[in-house]
Amino acid sequence: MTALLVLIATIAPLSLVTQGTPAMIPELTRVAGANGWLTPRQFAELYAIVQASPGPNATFLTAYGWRAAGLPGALVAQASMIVPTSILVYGVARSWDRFRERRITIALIRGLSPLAVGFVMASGVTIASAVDRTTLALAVTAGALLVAYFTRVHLLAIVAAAALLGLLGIFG
Amino acid sequence: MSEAVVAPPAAVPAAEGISRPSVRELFVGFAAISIVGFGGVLPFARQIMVDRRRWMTDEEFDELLGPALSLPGAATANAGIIFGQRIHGIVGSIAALTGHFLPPMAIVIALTVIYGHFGTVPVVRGVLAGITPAAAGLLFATGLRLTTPYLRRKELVPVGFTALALFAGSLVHVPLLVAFAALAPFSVAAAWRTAR
Repeated sequence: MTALLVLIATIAPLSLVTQGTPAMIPELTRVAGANGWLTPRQFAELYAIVQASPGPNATFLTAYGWRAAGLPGALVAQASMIVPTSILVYGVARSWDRFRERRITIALIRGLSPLAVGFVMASGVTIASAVDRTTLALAVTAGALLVAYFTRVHLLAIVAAAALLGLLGIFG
Repeated sequence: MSEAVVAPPAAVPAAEGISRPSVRELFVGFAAISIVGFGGVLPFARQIMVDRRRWMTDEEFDELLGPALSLPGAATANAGIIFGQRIHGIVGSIAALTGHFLPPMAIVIALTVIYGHFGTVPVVRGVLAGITPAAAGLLFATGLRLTTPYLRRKELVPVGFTALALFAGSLVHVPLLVAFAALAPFSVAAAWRTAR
């Protein structure tokens, strides 16, 4: 029961300010560690698995909640993100044309987006520091970054290449 | 709720060649989008909703993107909420939303269980040792891609706030909401001055 409340209290407010689950990673890692749900490394691996599977990245919360409290945890964690954001979207979308031109709307979007971007990159730091900091792991991180940034290669191809390297056992 | 089904908002007549989906088709369509979409489902959403099923025109899709991308939540799910609402009221929103989340949630639960049982098997460990650092690289790349337009336009104030958020989120160990509450007023105030 406590775990479910922690999930709601952690995820619901974050979902309204972060524009996407990836930006929540540092905070989710911290809470998981404090509650003994996942070590930082398990967290990073589980995130990598979900990113490589079909569906919105937001379904990482299902995996997270499952580790916290089984099926009820999975449902509560996912709903903690879906319900608040959906209510907001449903309410605002009807009169979006009226809101979008308002100075406050423009200021909110322009002001909050750069923060969300910074939090996404902070999530990269969290994941990168959870794995063994070998030269090889750093090279894979850098390689994925460069290929994803400079080319139009499908993200899944990048993940598949990294998985293949791992299968070959080069990480020892 | 029910009157929305009987009388969908009349302000959205369909253009020629466009056929609006039923509630069931909304559910199935968004389930299909969620299943084929790897690493960002938005491009697939356009392909399925505009090109294949002809639910809406390209222009209508672009109109959905504004609020879907700007508001919190998963972008494609947001597009489903808005589109569903327009043609079937709240029932349409719920159909799109549940269709979009239930199938991938089932897949993720299966993978989480498998990870719990086989996460220590050497072969699996090898794969995880490969994809986990790659996932970090992809997050950095996403952040950099989103920052690049600001850099191109030489808008250094938002870039500075991105850097502060990166710093607060990764190096200083403060809860994200605290970091957000500390930075957001200044970031929004700075944006307010340029927003006209």
